[in-house]
Amino acid sequence: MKTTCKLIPFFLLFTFNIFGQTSISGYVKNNNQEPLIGANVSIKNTMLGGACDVSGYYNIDLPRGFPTSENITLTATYIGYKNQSISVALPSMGVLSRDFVLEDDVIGFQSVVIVGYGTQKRGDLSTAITSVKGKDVINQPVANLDLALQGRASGVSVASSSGQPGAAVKILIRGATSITASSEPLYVVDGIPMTSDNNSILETGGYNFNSMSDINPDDIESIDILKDASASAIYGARGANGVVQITTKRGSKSGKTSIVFDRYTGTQSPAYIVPMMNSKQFIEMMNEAAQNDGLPADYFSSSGPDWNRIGDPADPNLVNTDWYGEVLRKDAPIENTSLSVRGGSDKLKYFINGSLFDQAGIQKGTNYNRLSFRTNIDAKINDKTNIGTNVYISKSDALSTIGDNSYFGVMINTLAADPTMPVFDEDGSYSNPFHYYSWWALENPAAAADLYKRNTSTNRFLGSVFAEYNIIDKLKFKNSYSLDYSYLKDVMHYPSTAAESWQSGVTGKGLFANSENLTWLTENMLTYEISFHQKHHLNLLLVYTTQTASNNVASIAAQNYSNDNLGALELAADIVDASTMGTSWGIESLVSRINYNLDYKYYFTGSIRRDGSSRFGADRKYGVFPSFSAAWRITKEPFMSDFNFLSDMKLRYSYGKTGNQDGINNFASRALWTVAAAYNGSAGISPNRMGNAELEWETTTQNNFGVDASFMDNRFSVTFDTYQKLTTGLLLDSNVPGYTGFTTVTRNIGEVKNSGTEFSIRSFNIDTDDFTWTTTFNISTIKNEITKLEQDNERAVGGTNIMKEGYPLGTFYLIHWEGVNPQTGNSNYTDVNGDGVINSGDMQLIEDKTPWPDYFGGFGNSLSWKGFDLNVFFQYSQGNYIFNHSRYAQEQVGWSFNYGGFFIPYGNNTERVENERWQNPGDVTDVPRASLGYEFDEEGNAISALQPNWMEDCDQWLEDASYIRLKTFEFGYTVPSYFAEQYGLSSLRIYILGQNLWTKTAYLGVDPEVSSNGENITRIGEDYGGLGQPKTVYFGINVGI
Amino acid sequence: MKIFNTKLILTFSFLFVSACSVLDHDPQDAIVPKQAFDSESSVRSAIVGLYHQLQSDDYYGASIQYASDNYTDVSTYAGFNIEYQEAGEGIIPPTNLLVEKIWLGAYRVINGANEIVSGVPGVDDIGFTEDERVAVIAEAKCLRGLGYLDLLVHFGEHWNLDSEYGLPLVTRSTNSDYANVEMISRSTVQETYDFILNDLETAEAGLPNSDNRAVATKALAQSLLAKTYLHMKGYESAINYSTLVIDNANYSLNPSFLDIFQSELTNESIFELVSSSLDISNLALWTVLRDEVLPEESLIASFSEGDQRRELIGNVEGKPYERFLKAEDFSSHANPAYIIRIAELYFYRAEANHFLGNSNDALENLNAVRTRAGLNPHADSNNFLDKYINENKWELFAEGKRLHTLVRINKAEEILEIESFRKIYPIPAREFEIDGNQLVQNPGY
Repeated sequence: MKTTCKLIPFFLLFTFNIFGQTSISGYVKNNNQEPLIGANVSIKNTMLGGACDVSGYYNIDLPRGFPTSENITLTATYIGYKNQSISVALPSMGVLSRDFVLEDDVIGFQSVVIVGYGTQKRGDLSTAITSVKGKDVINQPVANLDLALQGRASGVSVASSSGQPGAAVKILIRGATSITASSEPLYVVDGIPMTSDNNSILETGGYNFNSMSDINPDDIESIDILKDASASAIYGARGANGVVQITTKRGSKSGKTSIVFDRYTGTQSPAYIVPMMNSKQFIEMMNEAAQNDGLPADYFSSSGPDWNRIGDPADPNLVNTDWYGEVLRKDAPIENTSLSVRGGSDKLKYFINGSLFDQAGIQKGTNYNRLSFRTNIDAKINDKTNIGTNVYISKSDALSTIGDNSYFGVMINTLAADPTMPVFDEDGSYSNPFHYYSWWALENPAAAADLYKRNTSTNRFLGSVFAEYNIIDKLKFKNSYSLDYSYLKDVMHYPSTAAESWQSGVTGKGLFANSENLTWLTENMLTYEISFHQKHHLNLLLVYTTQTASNNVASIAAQNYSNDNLGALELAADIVDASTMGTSWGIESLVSRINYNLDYKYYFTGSIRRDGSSRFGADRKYGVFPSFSAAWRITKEPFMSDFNFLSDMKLRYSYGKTGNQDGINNFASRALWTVAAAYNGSAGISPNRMGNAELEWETTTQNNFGVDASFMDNRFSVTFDTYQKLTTGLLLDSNVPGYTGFTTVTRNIGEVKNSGTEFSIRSFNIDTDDFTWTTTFNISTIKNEITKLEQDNERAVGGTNIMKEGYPLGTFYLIHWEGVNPQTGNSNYTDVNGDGVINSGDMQLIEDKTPWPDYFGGFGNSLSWKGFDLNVFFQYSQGNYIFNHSRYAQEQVGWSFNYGGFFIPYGNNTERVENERWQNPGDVTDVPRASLGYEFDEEGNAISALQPNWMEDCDQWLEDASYIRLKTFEFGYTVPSYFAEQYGLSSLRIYILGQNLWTKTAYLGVDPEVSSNGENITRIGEDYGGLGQPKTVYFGINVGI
Repeated sequence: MKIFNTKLILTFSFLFVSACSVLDHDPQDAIVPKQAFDSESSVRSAIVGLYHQLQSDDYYGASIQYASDNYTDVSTYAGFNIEYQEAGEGIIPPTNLLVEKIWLGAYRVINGANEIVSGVPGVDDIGFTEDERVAVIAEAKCLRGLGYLDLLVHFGEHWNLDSEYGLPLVTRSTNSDYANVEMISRSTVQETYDFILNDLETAEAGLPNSDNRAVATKALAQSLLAKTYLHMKGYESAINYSTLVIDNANYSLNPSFLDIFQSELTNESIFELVSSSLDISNLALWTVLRDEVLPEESLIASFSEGDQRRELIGNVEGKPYERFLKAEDFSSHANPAYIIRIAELYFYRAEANHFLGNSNDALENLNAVRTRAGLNPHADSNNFLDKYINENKWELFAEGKRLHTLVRINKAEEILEIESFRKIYPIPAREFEIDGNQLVQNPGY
């Protein structure tokens, strides 16, 4: 564009408008028939060309003597649109008229970006916003749209907490800004700030059911992620973690109606299963342990005392149960069917979609399904008034078994279950692990997957109505009301045969709970847009908005059922708990913003938001969140004209303050007495929260510098951002002296800093009519650091982690394992306090191994050739560590509990222990020798316990979890349209898609992407019985009618 | 232009239609502190709340009993909770979560009592008479005294009246407001005892003599006074207060030992913290439901033939290993905590008489407990303390009385084979991590 711009004056200088001369003219518009002001039309192989005026009109006068005998090629170009060339025969004289309709370049600069209370064109942005188009999202076989964002957007990290379908994923935009409050971004769907809380009251042990999974990915047109402060400050006290703006599809005014039917169906299997010892190997290891301790070498297979006889390893009929095989499904079905209708006219536009999604989990007993309907309508009532409505209804059911980390949890019990235990006893009932030889399993894993039944079903209604009125030209008023209502029901039933029941001496347990959530949003918005002197473009916004949300929960727990068939509470003899709970909050805000640009060269955006929130202290009710950003399109400067390879380049800087009020208790600032303090049949009250009238939001101040550039006619486009975020006034539960009767008070202390760099590139390697090849790549770094805590500057978290100034959140705090002594085969540990005992007093901060990656991102290639298309996308992470807590259960190498001379093995071990354990002096390995863990006298009596060779909270289990993973592989074929039309179809595409097909990692656990602690940011990077994400393959068909 | 103005004004007025209620929200399942003292019935609920706090897992819901028993020769720990493991191994670091729970649990009761003691005089309720107010304050002070005594005998150098290592004494309401929190240092042991005695004497004066064993009564105050004086080596007073309770017709040694634990609120109990399926305790959680807090083999082996008390260690159907059965209800967890029962008063009197040189009286009191269990009385008082600590162990196992009893009679190092400083728990490490902390750690830790 630079080149042609300069041509125009040049051309005008040497031509004269002489009658009889030939000229070419016409309009350049986009698909929506909007004029493309400033678009260029040029004649190939000449220096002739012209620019479009405000109506999109161009005119090229040909100089006298211009050869007219040949065809010429006219090319129209405009930033953000695909170039278009046409071949025309020149008349010898007169005016030739040729119009162009340019198509959007998908990621182009012209594409519309949702910026919060409005839109902007990508080319005009002065802030850091990453967009992901619906196409990249909807083709993913996942229940949650956020899972589909993995690796797609720079600076955004996504980790799943569980393989439970429908479970929440942890999304972090540019690191973690908070400890106690949420680090989750704010989700805004079609302008409605959503509550993404987990509303289920079932103990899930790690993962949450995120209410965002109610949203159907099929409906999504685009996702815009507001990353820097200038972009997200428009959401004030809720913008600190970034904002995910989700825009659903709307109708078109083309006059045509398109009906699309899409269906895919496929299967999922575990991406990786940790190989375990079989029964023979297990018994042999136990015997080896006994022998190493000085006991007979057939201690566990001789016919001595019953308790110690596990079995004879040589017995061909030895029971050998593959517990992972018993609880996992290798062909879990997944399917999705949707039918959408999209169309409209100038007056009325509509989009209607109905979908049915059904996903079985790879763990038996889990399933997720969702039925959803959406209707989006826009109507133009008259020249001045538009109205519209969005209606979304969904019903979902999430079936699960028992919480991931429960004592009786499926995966937890599977970890080290005894392979010599059969699934069923001879009488056909599930075998009881207490009758077999692993101390670890408290429940038969197969029984845990089968008998424990829980269903969380949610009905959700999301609706909004809006009206927009043009008061005077360019001054618009918009008023909207939105409602987000959900009703959630938890039903749980454990029969009498479940260990959770019989071990507690009851015949069955049940629970019924419901949760009703209501969010009301009102928005009143004034916008004014003006351009003057052709160069100055100004856009003003003023919004007043309020939002209130309430949550009411009732739950009843019962036990002692008369039979196992039904979980209905009527069948239970005892009601053991019945409670109701209600809470609510509100926020009232005034927002204003100014966007200004001078000749599309210099940009400035300023915004300010004032939020009042019910959540904060009486002395701190209102907060003000300002921001600004500026950008400079450097390629518009004359001095850049020689850099022809640069199509466009823009420098950006932004600064702003945002707040975080979410994730914190609604009444955190108040001194409260609980009313749940009963004794001996009388209701009681008791102090349970210390108040702090000075409590306020966390404040994040962010600087961002960025560059957007494209090269060689937009063939390559790159985006680079570097930022620094400082969050102050971190809401922390600050310890108060125990003698106050309280443990903590919520205070604004603490600071955390996130800084990072993001780079992404997109390259149109080949772009011909028949063959296109596009490559994308993104890479991000994040450095997270706690810069201030309390005076003592450190605190332990949950046994395995620590927060300390100068170190990132999630820093591990563990006993240090020095390795296995090659001479003795025993583990050595660092005795930090020198007391001769290794215990919790010897835990230390692990400096060099943190859960944060050095860098992470994704890259992909999309190819299409004639009707075929291929999409291959990889995701990677380098340098992050996971505390593989599961291995602690699976690598104890024979350690046993001593019950009065009977030794109960801790549990089964991994194949790694079989292959790599220390056996002879001189063996260099990281798996210690087999041992029961006791010193024995000559008669075989245990005298004393030995220092164990394995410790739970130890960096023995800390592993490098770097990985590269083939996230998506998609291959499709679109049949030629003439063929489809023969059958009355407008289009037909068939495709095959695979997810998580291949992973390269040194991590020993099931999945390097797993994080067992859900949204607890201080304990990220732990894997405890994680299930991992499934490997999925499915076939789909997409039919346009 | 006029039309335009009207529209503009209408628009702007619409824009600022404010929902006044947007920022006004109140919790629906909690109250603010001033509501706790708006009537007599509120105050009575606050008293109920004190008992609820006593029931917490952190305090008499399991932690104080099983920490002591695991630490001593009563029980062994076979589970994987590191805080219990450390207690079981007899090496408790200041970071141990169990001692932290006990510390916090007891102070929660003390804080609730402080609120009541400060709040009751200001209650604006004509029907709330002066006598009723005195009784309510006495009840709060009785439980505050219990809390401080429990803390002192586990965290302070209770055997040494000259020691600096008493407790931090909080005596006033903070109104649950962070702005009112003051950093204080440890009082001396003598000051701590003085405060406890003062509370208990007020309680004794103000509480009714009642046979309601589920709440604080005059006899509870007297029992706690006896125990306090015993720790202070005030043996005469210990005997006097013990005798007041033993002579009280409301209390007697239950003829059947088993019945104490299988029935509810027997004559044995002076203060029995009751539970129900809707208001559970964790006492059976650790011992029966989970095979974690298990009787030590030496304890099982030490019982004499015919000792009824041995029957409360036994098998539960479907579960391996012998378990403590004093709290046996592992399905609905309605297991009471026996905070003080009459047998203990006999022990106090036996111990006090022993140290006063009244060996016959000492033996008589010890034998009263011993013969109730179906054993023959000891014929003589030779090696009295050995007999005493054994009887004490058999009688009170799984009730968390072992550690401070051994320390009181200066037998802890010998019996438990621990270093001298480990006679008491460390002050929890969390207390030293707080800005402006004034506390000092117990010597040795």
